[in-house]
Amino acid sequence: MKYSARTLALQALRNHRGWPAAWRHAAPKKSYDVIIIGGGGHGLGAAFYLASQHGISNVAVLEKGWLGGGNTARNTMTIRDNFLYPENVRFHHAAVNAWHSLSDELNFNIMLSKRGMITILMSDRDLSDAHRMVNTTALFGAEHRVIDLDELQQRLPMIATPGRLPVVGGIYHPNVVLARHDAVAWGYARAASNLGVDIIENCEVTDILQDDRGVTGVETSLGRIQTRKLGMAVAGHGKRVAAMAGVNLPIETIPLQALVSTPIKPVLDNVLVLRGFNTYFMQSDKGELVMGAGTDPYPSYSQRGTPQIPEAIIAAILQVFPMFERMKFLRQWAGALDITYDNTPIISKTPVAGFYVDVAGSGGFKTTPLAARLHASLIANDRPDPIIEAYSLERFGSGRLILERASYGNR
Amino acid sequence: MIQIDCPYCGKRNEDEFVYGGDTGHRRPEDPAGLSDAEWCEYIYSVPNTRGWANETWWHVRGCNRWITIQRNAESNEVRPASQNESHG
Ligand SMILES: Cc1cc2nc3c(=O)[nH]c(=O)nc-3n(C[C@H](O)[C@H](O)[C@H](O)COP(=O)(O)OP(=O)(O)OC[C@H]3O[C@@H](n4cnc5c(N)ncnc54)[C@H](O)[C@@H]3O)c2cc1C
Ligand SMILES: [Zn+2]
Repeated sequence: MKYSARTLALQALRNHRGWPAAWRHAAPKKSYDVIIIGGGGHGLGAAFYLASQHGISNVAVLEKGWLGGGNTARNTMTIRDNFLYPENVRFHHAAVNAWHSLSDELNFNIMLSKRGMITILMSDRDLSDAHRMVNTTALFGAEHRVIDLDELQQRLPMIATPGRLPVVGGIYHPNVVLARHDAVAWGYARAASNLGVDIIENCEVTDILQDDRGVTGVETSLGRIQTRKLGMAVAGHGKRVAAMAGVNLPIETIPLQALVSTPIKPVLDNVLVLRGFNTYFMQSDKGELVMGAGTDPYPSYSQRGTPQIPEAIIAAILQVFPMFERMKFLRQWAGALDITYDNTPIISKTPVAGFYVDVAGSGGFKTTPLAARLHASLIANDRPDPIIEAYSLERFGSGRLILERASYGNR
Repeated sequence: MIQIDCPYCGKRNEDEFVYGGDTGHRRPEDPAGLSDAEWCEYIYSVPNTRGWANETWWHVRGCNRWITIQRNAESNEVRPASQNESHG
């Protein structure tokens, strides 16, 4: 069923009793042309692009829990391209642009919201780093602008200046957008399912099978399924799943947390980053302040996070925005991230023929549409698109790492 | 908040400590004797265990010693390592 104003009106006349399920709940077949492990945005997206752009629709997505229940459900939705290294700027700039047509492509409203972002700078060093980032990204067509204290105060009248911290200026990022995270998973699932992809929930991959020519299939909690091509997009579970194929992925599983306050009336349109504190926050459509920080100080699979982090986030925000002092903290959560050693994604072939990996890395919601499309083309053609050549696993052997620091704290 | 039982100071909050890594990930005896591939294998094969593992933690805001404990990276429970060794 195509979603449209007309469908909505017709369904309204029937008291909304006629809506069909958005995607089919499939049972696994014996074999597929391609299997994707992981039913988050990245995995569902890869399946959708295999079917829509490469004509490969005999595809299954295997998800151990429920669809979109991993980091896709847990992130703070910020889509930005302020990076420092050319490979990353190019990729993330294209990644941000890929969001604008997604609702149309999927016939599903992903609720793209052009919020813009402001990075608040608190030292002269921050300021010179800001100029460097702005100029680097300009070379690739990304648009960011350093703003002085006057403009910052105009845009954010509630900022405490002079406060306890020496705010010296900011960066305005007009093209930062937010998208409804769950809708991304649902939209891809529905569109992929319509093209014949089987989406199989409660199906955990427990082993990867191979012969001397490469991958032959997977062992799962629902039995053995054959395939010659296997894509992996499992976020923080990557090290374990890749090890099933004997591949040692250079990643560690580290929690990343977010927290929200009770809702208040609209006060903030932009996403705000406190550069010196590695903290960012925004106001959700529901009115809650959504706050986040860098990763936890040690690896863990627990999706809880250590309480030092919320404490530090709240303390930092209150230094710069004392007006939020009386607000109540509502809830907190964490997701298990797949942190690479250089904070840069991996979208790559592996030493095992037919086994491909998409490691979203520290902030991979923003890359979902582009990474999924390029993962799909890598699987279909067995060859990386030029834009992701630098994201290959080989960089860890050659030492050509892309040591991206900007991804910390600007999230 | 995890509470870590330091053999010298007793139970303390985790924010007094700095995580030092999995004791199973040992630096090779003779790095110069390794091939590039073997060296990379060492660097990138941090165990990342989902379950119990022996770990070193540095009690930097306490007695300043390195201690070894067991932590379950799935539940974040901690317990004493079978043999607590100090690394000075
Ligand atoms: C608190 C928080 C805030 C974040 N904020 C941002 C942000 O603002 N901007 C941004 O760009 N990114 C952000 N991120 C990162 C982003 O959420 C992730 O990088 C991205 O969602 C990863 O998508 P994915 O589809 O690869 O992973 P997921 O959505 O985690 O999907 C992976 C799926 O694989 C499944 N799986 C795992 N093992 C198996 C198995 N053996 N068999 C079958 N299935 C398996 C899991 O159950 C899971 O559903 C944030 C993350 C967190 C936790
Ligand atoms: Zn101690």
